This record gives sequence, structure tokens and C-alpha cells, in this order.
Amino acid sequence: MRVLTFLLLFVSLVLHADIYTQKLYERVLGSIFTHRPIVAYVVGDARKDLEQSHLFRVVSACSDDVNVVIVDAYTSIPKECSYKPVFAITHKAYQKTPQAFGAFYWFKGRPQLHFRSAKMAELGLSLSNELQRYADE
Amino acid sequence: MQMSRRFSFFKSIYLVYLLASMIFFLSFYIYKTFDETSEEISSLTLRSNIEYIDNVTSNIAQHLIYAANGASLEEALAKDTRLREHLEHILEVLVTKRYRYIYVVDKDAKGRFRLLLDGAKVEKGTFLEMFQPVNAKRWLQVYEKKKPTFFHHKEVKGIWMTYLKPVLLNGRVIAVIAIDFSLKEQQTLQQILQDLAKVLGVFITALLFVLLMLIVFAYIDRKRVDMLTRQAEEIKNFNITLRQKVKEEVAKNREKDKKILEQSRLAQMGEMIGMIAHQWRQPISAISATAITIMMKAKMDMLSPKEAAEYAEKISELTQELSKTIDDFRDFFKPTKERKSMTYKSLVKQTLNIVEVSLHNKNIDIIVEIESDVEFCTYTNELKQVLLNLIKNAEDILIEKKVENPYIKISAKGNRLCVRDNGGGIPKEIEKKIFDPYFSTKSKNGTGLGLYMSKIIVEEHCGGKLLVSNDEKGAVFVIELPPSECE
Repeated sequence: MRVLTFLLLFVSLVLHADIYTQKLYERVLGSIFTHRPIVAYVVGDARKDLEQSHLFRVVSACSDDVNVVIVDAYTSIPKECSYKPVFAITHKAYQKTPQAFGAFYWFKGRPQLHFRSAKMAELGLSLSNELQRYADE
Repeated sequence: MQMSRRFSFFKSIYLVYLLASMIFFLSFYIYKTFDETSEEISSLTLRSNIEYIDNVTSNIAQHLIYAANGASLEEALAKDTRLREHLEHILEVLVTKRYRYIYVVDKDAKGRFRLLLDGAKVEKGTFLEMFQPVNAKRWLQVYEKKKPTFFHHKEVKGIWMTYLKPVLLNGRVIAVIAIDFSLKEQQTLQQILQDLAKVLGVFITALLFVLLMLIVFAYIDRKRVDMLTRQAEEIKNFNITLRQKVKEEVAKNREKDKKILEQSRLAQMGEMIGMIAHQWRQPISAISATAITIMMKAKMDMLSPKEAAEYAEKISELTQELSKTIDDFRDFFKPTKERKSMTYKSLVKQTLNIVEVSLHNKNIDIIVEIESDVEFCTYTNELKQVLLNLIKNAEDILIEKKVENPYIKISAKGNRLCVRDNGGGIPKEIEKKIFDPYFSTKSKNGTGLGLYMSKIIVEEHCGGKLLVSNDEKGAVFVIELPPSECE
């Protein structure tokens, strides 16, 4: 049932990308991280989407509190966050950031959700059943 | 006539119905043809697009089959980077604004799709990158059915379609070539067709409205024509009745005229006898007196032969006078068959010979002032009757009104002859009617034909004018004749 709900959300995302991107972040990252609110450091423009969500607290500087680093471009991640879990939100950022454990981006007009299983295991993160099908390895 | 009118009316009605039917069927035909044509154009555009893509993907498939070299395509591409680059270059060349994404995917052992080749210039996918297609069911069907398919991305505003072509090697799908192509041109065409359909809709609506109006007008016109036919029929019947009535009335009037003419003739005769009686009274008295004298003298033996001869001579003269009077009256009332020369002087004199005694007996003064020597070639007796009629009318009114010092003045100057009296004149309200037939103001013995006949004689027979007016004393009748001499 949860898988079906998630799939519905995923399809809805295609229909109403702007509205549902934020909800997808909440759903995906909310199921991976148990900490509330999830403290996120954003490199790039996704800040706005996360700031509107109650699930996230977006910080402007890297610190120990940070739960996840979200990148939307291939830029160097600050040293303080280099060991933090990274989630990419563009195709290019996912390709160029090997330490990213997962990504959500648009590719050829289609929403893509990917997780690197090995990286997740390394970071001690796990995927819920509904997201298992998006794991790459 | 009635039949042909009715026939033409039916013809016009049938024409209207024929026209209306033609408009209706034409509208239907136009609508149907346009609908079919627009669908045909639409599907033809899509078909030609698909046909083109099918040809392109078939060529790509040939390259891929060749690249696979009888084994796994994924392995071949993994081994040979240059081959991969070469094949991606082929895909890149085919990418246009319309054919936006051209790429090749396959399925891994877990059934997940992975990118083998990507024709994109930007945001290029990497070799074996996981790919999550929307509508994955259709992708899987390509593997199952081993046949190309295409479907709409309704979710992306309906502009995009995806075409999937399986690459078959030894009956096995080794990869799927995917092309995302735009339907924008087709949509533009459909929009144009829709706009045209709207215009056509308006046109057909207008046509149908015209049709409706035509039927309404035909109905109204039919009613109108029915009414007109009915009215024409009524008028025709009325005309027939009217004609019969006119005929009857004319016959009655003729009968009446005949009676009036007879009465008029009798009245004229009576008048003539009266006038003769007046003329004869004096000579008859003289004859009677002479006869008494002869008788007295004969009884007393005092009548000499000489005296007897003188008395006989006198009686003879008087009887001649009586005879002359008869001749005068006979000539007077005998119609003139030929025009004769006359002057107003002779006309007045001859007319007064007839009526002078009668007027004198009624104490009516006759004033004659003739200052005209103009000769007229005309119907003399008829003119005498006209003058006599005017004088008698004046006499009648003077007697009827018992006018003091009555007179009738007859004057002539140039070609104008005036007859005036002091009878008070003609009232204004009847002035225009006095020449009408049967119009009379006389209390008795008025036929209403005298002045009517006089006007006809003067104006139609003699070519002159008979006018009437009033002066301060009474009526003035003027006869104007054109001067002329008989040959």
C-alpha cells in the first residue's frame, strides 16, 4: 500500500512538478533520516523548496548538526560536511559526486530517483521497502 | 390566368423548398467532409511522423545489431568506447528540435532499465546509468511483444510522444531505441483545423439560419400569396357585380334621360306655343276688330266697296303677319345643317323677335347695346336657341324673385356677347354646377338641361366659350365666338 502511495506521489510529481518536489523530498529523506527536523545544508538553489517544509531546517553553514548535504551542482562540498551524507538533486551533480548516496533529478523529461546501496551502507543509512526498487546496486 | 399564377406560386414554393434542402444537405456534406478530412490530415501527419521515425530507428537498429556482433550489445559497448562514441554520434546527428531525445536502453538482470547510448548533447546520460521511464509498462510490453510502440506523454501538456523500437537479434530483444518527439507541429495543425472548424461551424450555423429564415419567409409568403389570391378573387367577383350594377344604372339613367328629354321637348313646345300666342294676340285682336267694324258697317249699309277692299287688305296683312310668326318659330327651332354667316346684331334681332313681346308683357325692359360688326360663320339657329335660353333664364329669375324694375341687358363688343340681368346673380356655391346636366334651381319646369346644352353648342359645336360671372346687379353670361367668315 505504501509502495502504491509512493508510486502515486511519483506519478503526481510528473504532473505537478513544482508542488510535489518538496513533498518528495519530505517523503524520501523523511524515510531515510529519523532525526526531526532534518538539518540540511544546501549547496545551490534547492534551499527554497526545503525552507518551505516543516520537516527540514535549512542551515547556512556546515556544522556537526547537519544531517544531510543537498547539492544541485557539482561544486566542492565544505570540509566540515565532507563526511556527511550527500543527496544530489541534479543529474550532473549525481554523476560528479561519487559520495552522494542518492539523487532525485529530471532526466529526459522524466523524474529519476536513484540510490547507491553501497554508499548508503557505508553511511549507515537504509532504504524503506517502498524505495528499495530505486537502489542502483 | 388564375391557373398560371397558381402554378408559378407553387413553382416558387417548390424552388424555396428545393433550395432549403440543398442548403441543408450542402451544410451536412461540408461538415462531414471537413470532419473526415481534418481527421485524415491529423492522422496522416502522425502516420508520416511515425513512418519517418520507424525508418530512422530501423537504420539505428541495423547499426546496433552490427555493433553487437552476434553477442551482447552491452558487452560490446562496454568493451569498445570508440564504438560507443561513434554510435552516440549517429544518434546526436539525428537529434533535432522535433526529435529531442534519442537514446538506447536495455534491461539488466533485475529487469531495470539502463542507458546504453544517449544522443543528447547536454545532460548526457552515462553508459549503464539507471533509467526510470514513466509509463514503464509500455516499455516492458516492447520486450514482451517485440514490436514497436508509441504513446503519448499526456502528463507533459500532451506535446510529447515516445516511440520505442525493439532491437531484435536472433529473436531476442537486445535493446530498445527510444525517441521522444514533439507533436507541436501536429498540434498547431490541429489548432488550425479546430479554428477552421469553428469558422465552418459559424458558416454552417449561418447557412442553417438562412435556411430557417427561408422556410419562415416561404411560409409567410405563402400566406401572403394566399391572401392576395383570395383578395383578387373577391375583387374579381366585386367587379363582375359592379359591372352589372353599372350596366343596370346606365340603362336606368338612359331611360330617365329619355323621359327628361321628352319633358324638355314638351316644355319647349309649351313655351313656343306661349310665345306664338303672345305674338298672335295683337294681330288676332286687330283682325277681330276689323271684322266687327266690317259687320257693323255692313248692317248699317255704311260699307262702301272701297272700304271693304281696305278692310280686306288689312285682314290679309294681319294674316300674313300671323303666317310670318309661324315661319319665324319654325325656322328658329329647325336645326341648322350648315354654318351660316351672321353678326351679333342679326342674332340678337332674330331672337328678340321671338321673345320681345313676351318680355314686354311681363314688364321686363330689354336694353340692347350692340357695338360689334364682327361676322361669324356658325350654326345660327343653335346660337339663337342659346341666346333665347339665356334670356328665358333671366326672365324666369326676374319673375320668380319679383325684382323691381327688371331688365335684361344684351350688349356686344368685338367677339363678346353679354347677357346680364338684375336678378341678384348666381350664388357662389352653385356657380360651378350650373353647367352640369340635370342641375336646376328652378322650382318648377326646370329640366336642368338648358345651360348644359347651351355650353355644348357654344363650345363643342361653334368652337367658342360660354362663361358665367356676377356683377353688382345680377348674373352675367358671356358668349365668346372665334371670328370667321363662310366661304
